[in-house]
Amino acid sequence: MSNTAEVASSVIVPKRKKHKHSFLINAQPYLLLLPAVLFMLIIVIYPMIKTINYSFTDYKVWKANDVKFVGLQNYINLFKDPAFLLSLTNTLKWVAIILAFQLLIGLGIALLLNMNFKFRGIARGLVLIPWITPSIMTSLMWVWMYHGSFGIINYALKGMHLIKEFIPFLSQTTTSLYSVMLTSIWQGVPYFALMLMAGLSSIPSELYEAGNVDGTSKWQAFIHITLPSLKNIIFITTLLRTIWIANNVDLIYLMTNGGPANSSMTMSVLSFVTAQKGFDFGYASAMSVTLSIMLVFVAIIYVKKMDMGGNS
Amino acid sequence: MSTKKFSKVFTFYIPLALILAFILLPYIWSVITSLKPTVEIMYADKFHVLPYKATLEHYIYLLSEKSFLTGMTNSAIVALSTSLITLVVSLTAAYSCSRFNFRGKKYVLISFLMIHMFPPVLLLMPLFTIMKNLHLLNTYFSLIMAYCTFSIPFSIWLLTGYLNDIPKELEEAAIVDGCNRFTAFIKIIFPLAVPGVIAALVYIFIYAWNEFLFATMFTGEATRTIPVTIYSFIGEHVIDWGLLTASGIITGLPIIILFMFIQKNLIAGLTSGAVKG
Repeated sequence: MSNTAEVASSVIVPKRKKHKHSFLINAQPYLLLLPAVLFMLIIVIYPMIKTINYSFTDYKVWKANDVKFVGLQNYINLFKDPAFLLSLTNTLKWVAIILAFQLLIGLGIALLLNMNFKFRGIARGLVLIPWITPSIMTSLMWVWMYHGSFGIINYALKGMHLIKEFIPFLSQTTTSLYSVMLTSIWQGVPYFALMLMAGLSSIPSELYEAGNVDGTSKWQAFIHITLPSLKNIIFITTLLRTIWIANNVDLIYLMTNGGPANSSMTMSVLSFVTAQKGFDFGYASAMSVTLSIMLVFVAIIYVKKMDMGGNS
Repeated sequence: MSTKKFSKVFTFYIPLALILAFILLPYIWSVITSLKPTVEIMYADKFHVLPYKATLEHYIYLLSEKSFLTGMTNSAIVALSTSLITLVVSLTAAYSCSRFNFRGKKYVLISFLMIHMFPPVLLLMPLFTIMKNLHLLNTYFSLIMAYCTFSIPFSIWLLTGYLNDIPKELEEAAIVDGCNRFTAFIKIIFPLAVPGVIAALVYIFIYAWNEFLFATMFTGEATRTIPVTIYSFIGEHVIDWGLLTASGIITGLPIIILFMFIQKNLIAGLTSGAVKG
C-alpha cells in the first residue's frame, strides 16, 4: 500500500522541481489539511475542553461573571440526583430496546428488498424516507397518531376491541418512554436496512449456489451463509447506532420534553434541558461529560474495528 | 407451482405489505389530516378516515404566513452556506488524505471520525457561550459554524472514500502529459468525483435543514430556521392539527424530493466504507 504511494508520488513530482521546492512539496498534504484542522481546533476541540472545564464549576449563563471552581461537586450531585439516576436507567432501556428492534426489522427489510421483484427500486426509496425526514415532522406525525382523544392508534385499538378507554400514550408515565421508542425505531430502521442491504449484495452468489448443490434449505443457508457474512457489518452498524441512539435528543424533546415526571428522560435529553431551560451549564456539562465517558468505550471499539477493516 | 406461489404470499407479500404500512402510514395519515377542515378533525361526531370535504385551507394559510416563509428562507440560506463552506474545506482535506501518505494521517482521520460521536450538548454549551461573548447569537454565522462541527468531519470521510476509488494512474497519466497536480485535480479527478461531491452536499443540506437543537439555541425571531418556527407554531396552534400536520409536510417535502433525486449516489457513498470494513 505505502509502496505504491511512494512510487506514485515520485512519478507525480518531476525530478528538477523536487529539488527546488522540496519543502513546499513535503508540506503539501499538511497545507491541504490545514483549513479543516483549524476549523476543528476552533469549533470542536477548544469548545470540548471548555465543557470539561465548565463541569468543574458552578457556571450559569445568567451569572457568567461570577463563576466559581467547585471541584467534583457537580459529579457528586449527579449521583444523588433522582432525575439523573432515572435518566441513566432510561438511557440503557432506550438504547437496548431500540437497537434490538431496529436490527431485527432492518434485517427483515434488507432480506425482503434483496429479492428480485418489479417495483424494488421504488420500495427501497420509500423505506428510506423516515431516516431523512426532519425530526420536527416526524414528531408532529407521531404525536398526532398517539393523540389521547383523536389519535388514530387509539381509534384503531378501540375498533379492534383491544382497549376499552383511549390511552394518553405520551402523557402517562407508564407508556411515554416506550411510545417515543417506537417512533425512534421507525426513524432509524432505514439506516440498518441500508447497511445490511449493502452487506447482502456483497455476498458472492457462488456461496449460495454451492449450498444449493449440497441441498441446504433456505433456513440453513440463512444461518450458515447469510448471517456469518453479515457479522462484521452488523457489529459495526450496531456500535455506531448505539452511540447515535444514546446521543439523540430531538425526538424525545419534541414529543414529550422528557416528561411526564421525567419518565421519558434520557441522559442526553436531561443535559440539554438543564442547559436550555435552566441555563445551568456547569451541571449540564457534568452530565454530558459523564455520558461521553460511557460512550467513548463504544467509540474506541468502533474505531479499532473500522481500522482493522481498512488495513485488511 | 401454485403451492410455491401460495407460500410466497406468506414469505414475501404479506411481510412486504406490513413493512411498507409501518413505514408509510404516518405520512398517509398526516396528509389526510392536513386536507381536512379543522371542524372535521376535532368536532366531528364520528371518526372517519377520509375527509367529507377536502380543503387546502391549511396550506394556503401557511404559505401566506410571513413567519413561515421567513423560516423556509432562513433554512435554505443556512443549509446552502453550510454545504458550500464544508465542501471547500473538506474537499482539500479529503484529497490530501486520499492522495498523500504522511505522518499522522491515521490519527487525523480517526480524530475526524471520533468527533461526531460526542453528545451534541457537549458542543452546544461552549459554542453558545463563545457566540454570546462575540455578540454573534441570532446570526446565520453562529448556526453555520455549529453545523460545521458535524458536517466537516463527516464529509471528509465520505469524500476520502470516494477519492480513494478513483485510480491514481489517471492522475499520473495527466501529469506525464504536462498537467500539474492542481490542473490534474481540476480536469481529471474533480469531474470523476462529482457524484460523491453531490452526495456530500445534499447530505449536509438535509442535515442542516432538519437540525433542531442548535437552531433553537442559536437563532432569534429573524434568523429562525423552519423547525424552530414550527416548534413555536405548536405552542400557538396547539389544537389545530390540520395546520400542524400541513406545516410538517411543507417542511419535509423539499427534503424528501431532494433525497429521491440523489438517493442512489448518497447510498453508494454512505455504504461503501461500511462494506469494506
